[in-house]
Amino acid sequence: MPDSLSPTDAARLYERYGFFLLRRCRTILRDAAAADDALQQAFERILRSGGAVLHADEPLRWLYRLVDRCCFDVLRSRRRSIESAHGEELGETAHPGVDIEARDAALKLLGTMSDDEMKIAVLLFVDGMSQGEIADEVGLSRVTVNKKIKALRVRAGQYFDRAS
Amino acid sequence: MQPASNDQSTKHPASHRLDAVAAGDADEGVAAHLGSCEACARQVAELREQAARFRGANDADAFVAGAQASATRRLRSSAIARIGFVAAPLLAAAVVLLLLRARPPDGAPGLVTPGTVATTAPSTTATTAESHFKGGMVVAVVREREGKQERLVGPFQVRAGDRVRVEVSTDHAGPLAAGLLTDAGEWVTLLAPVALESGTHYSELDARFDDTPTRATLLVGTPDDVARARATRDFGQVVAWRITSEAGP
Repeated sequence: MPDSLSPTDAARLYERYGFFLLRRCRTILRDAAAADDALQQAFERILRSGGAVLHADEPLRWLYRLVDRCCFDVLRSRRRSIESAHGEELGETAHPGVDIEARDAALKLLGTMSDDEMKIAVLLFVDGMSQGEIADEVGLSRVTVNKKIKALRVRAGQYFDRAS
Repeated sequence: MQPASNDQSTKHPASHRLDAVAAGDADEGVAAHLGSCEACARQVAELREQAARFRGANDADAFVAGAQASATRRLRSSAIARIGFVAAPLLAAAVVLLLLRARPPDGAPGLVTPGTVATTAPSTTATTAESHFKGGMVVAVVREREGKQERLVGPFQVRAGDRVRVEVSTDHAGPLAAGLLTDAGEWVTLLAPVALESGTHYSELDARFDDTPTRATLLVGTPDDVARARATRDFGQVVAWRITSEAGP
């Protein structure tokens, strides 16, 4: 049975990383209320079975994968991405290596993607990871990741062209 | 548009590493990079400042206590849902029985005209009315609020945090569709166009409302009728219930 996490340890995690986790939820979901819910559900899971985070080499990376899953669950349940009028992120900083327009287009299409595509899109457009890093992270070959990234960029480009 | 350049992104550490340093974690590689990259250094500085403001405004113990309480509520509600899953077919059978018994002696079908409301067997939720429409279709809305479900008929109100699903019962097989049409023209699918068997069905998708004022209309009908209603705003051939916002508690 997975290790649970004590409320005290969970509160420490929230104190240190809460801002970053909520910001990520808002980036993916583009909906403040849904992001709050997703983060709460993530912490429910952490309390129940998140003891491993205490032994993780990179705790924030571990937590990001968890909140990503919670956000993807929300998107899957809606089968669409949310373009809220109040969809601004928590904070306005984006990874320096990521093109903002491409990122926004990809995020708006997230809800229409498969699980693998959602993961790859977030790692590419939000985290600014290289294709090799993404391949390692998602457990797919670089060739497969490259193909999927090409397809994502085409879709993001088409979306942007339609919107502009 | 210039898509995210992979060559460009590989110049900088991945976002989770920059974020971790801004959160207070040690990372020698990132620290070295920050000394030579103004863009990343600026981003980390901004994130540190924003995180400090967030910590000052948010109580971690209260948040975790909320998550614990929510987990408890979720466990209870999933237990109720399991009970409902078992009870629903039995309830539907009881409703069918009542309708059959209510038929006129000449055997004519017990048709109900569009828009009329009939009282049926009590449901597991609050409301006991249903709306019957053409084609033998019966429609209700299940609104979940703060862990409680209400079954509603006709125009209804929502507030932030509410979730809404559609319940449709039909007495014959056929395609149906349902969704929310906002006044701005956005369409939120609740029940994708699909051929349904006769019986009671719940939309596989639910709509969740945030604190943005809601001005929308729930549409239910055949896919063609719904598509026409969306295009023309003539709701004469579909179930159309107005959704508006109510003040919070």
